[in-house]
Amino acid sequence: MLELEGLRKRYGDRVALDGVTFTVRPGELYGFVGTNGAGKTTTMRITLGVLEPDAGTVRYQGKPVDSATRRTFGYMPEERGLYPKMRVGDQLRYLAELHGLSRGDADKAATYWMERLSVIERAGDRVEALSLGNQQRVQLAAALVHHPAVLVLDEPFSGLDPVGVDNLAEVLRERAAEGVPVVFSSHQLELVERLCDSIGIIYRGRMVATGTVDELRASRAERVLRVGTDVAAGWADRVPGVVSADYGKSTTLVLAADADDQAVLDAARALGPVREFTPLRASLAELFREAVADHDGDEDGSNQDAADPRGADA
Amino acid sequence: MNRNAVRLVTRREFVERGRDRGFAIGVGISLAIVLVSVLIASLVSNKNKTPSFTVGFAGTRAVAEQQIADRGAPVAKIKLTSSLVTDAVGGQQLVKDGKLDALVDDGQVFVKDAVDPKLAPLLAEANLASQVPNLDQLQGQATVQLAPKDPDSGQRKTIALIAEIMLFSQMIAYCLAVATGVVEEKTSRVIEVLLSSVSPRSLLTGKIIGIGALGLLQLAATVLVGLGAGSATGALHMTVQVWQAVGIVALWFVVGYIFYASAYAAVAARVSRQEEMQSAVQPLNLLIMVPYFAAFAAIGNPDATWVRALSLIPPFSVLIQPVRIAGGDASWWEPVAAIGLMAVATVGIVLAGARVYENSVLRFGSKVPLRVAWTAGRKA
Repeated sequence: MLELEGLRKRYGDRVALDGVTFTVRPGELYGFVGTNGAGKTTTMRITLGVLEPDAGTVRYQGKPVDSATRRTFGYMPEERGLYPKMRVGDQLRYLAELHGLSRGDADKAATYWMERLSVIERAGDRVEALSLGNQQRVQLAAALVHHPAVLVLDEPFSGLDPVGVDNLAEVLRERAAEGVPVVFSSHQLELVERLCDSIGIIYRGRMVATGTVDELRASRAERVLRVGTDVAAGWADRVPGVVSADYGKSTTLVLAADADDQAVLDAARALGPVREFTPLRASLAELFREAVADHDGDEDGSNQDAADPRGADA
Repeated sequence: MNRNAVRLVTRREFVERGRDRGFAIGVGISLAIVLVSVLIASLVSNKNKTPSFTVGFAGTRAVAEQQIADRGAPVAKIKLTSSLVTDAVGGQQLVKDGKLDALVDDGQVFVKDAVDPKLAPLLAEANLASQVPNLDQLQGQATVQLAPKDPDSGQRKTIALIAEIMLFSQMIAYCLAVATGVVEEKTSRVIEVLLSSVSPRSLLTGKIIGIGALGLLQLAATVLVGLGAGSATGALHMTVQVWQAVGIVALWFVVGYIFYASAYAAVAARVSRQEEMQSAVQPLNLLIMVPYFAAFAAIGNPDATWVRALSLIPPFSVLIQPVRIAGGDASWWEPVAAIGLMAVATVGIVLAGARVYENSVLRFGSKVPLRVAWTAGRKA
């Protein structure tokens, strides 16, 4: 179990993290989403010990992580990075050894992951000679090569073709199935929704929502219904619990949290035949927009780029 | 700091750079330069195949000695210009002035410094043969030095010069390699992957040791080839001083390299692109080049006060102290004190360099301000 608790980080007067707390259970795929500059990268860097937090702790299996524990973590940074002039195989073996594998084990693991990610025939080539897609695969192999006990991947899917996406998704599921807590960030919300057991939404350095997608849905204030009926527009305006209504081919109703949807159905049937009555499940994208909108403006003026110490590339 | 991590980083730097084609070319060029200069030196010194000497004869047996010497010269493969000298004191002056190579006067040979080994047997033969009628009282020949000089002073200056050039070129090349390596890791962003498994200090230590080991290897190869070729062609007399000089160069390279490499690494860590690195390390380049040029001035006058002073002060001592090889009258404590002071300065610069490196290496974009590099730690 990987626990982040109360992580705080400032860069000068910019607040990057303002008490980030979440937990990734063993075998769980955790999707970490947020706007640009919300603090995802800073959180991940702190988790990996690349950056020191001003306050807060990162625990693994109940104990605060030290550098020895972190060496068992696997990390793919947002800014991809490998030695451009080093050969693919040498590079992976080197990184595996840095993470504590013996020379023989490092060699086996490097070969396994190069085969698995289909770059084995480029093992003797310098990284700079590879296409971007293949460099991305090598980068993934670098994060996976030492059988990490925890996986932290910053935007691992960006830049991958659909085959690569499927390939990576399969690898991540497989790692999780072996009991490894896996955290990854992504802007591809459908992918996150499809893949992840749990989701955390970060906004301006704070976690604004955490839980499974269903939990996030259950916690929202409003529900949406689609009602197929030929009754004239305006029929639902005075039905109790209806917050707003949109009349088209079928009617889309937004209900208050405490509204009784059966009362709405009764009201509709009283006016005419009802062909369809469907509660609409909000997509993660909608949940995300709502969560962000709810917390917009409740802030202390920290700016959007606060999470990015690099200045140049926010 | 993790010793195993340092070992791995060291090995990577050594192996990856060692098999880089640029490294092989660099070593090849430096070896070629050494070979060519040794060859030229030996050609210059062996140019006179038939040595010629001007010898004056004075004293009671002068005529006989001159005749015998003239007759013996072709046999000894010497071109001899002989003359009779009536004024022995004036003859000695001619020797001092270099107009005569030797003056033979009643069993004594007056020379400036030493009798040339090719000339000596001929003069000895003339001395003995001229006494043949008095076989019982044969007198041996004594050599009188009129202006003795340090036998190896020329060679010592040459050694000091070569030591100087090697120290300078090795140090600047390998310190720049460290700086380039530091920036390369930032530019390629591999630094973030690395720092998730090793500490900045381990990484920096391994990098400096690995590249430095390669530098020592190149130094050793150059010295071996240079000494081998030098002694094979006779351009170099393998004396104790030569070996001392080799030891001194190696020692100063190690200390100077650690000092400067830490400074170069710290400066390089503050920038994110190779182009910026060039201008960032400019002040450090000067800090190597100024003592280097001062050293050339010092070789001509190795016992001057300013040379003695600079040869003790870090980091000038790195390039000035070896010049004192050419002087030869350095007290025993001078190199010891110089190394001691330099070691202290090196410890200081290593600590400061590591601190700046640690604070800067993950800050990308524009150059990290010195204040931030010094104070804003990762643990801030």
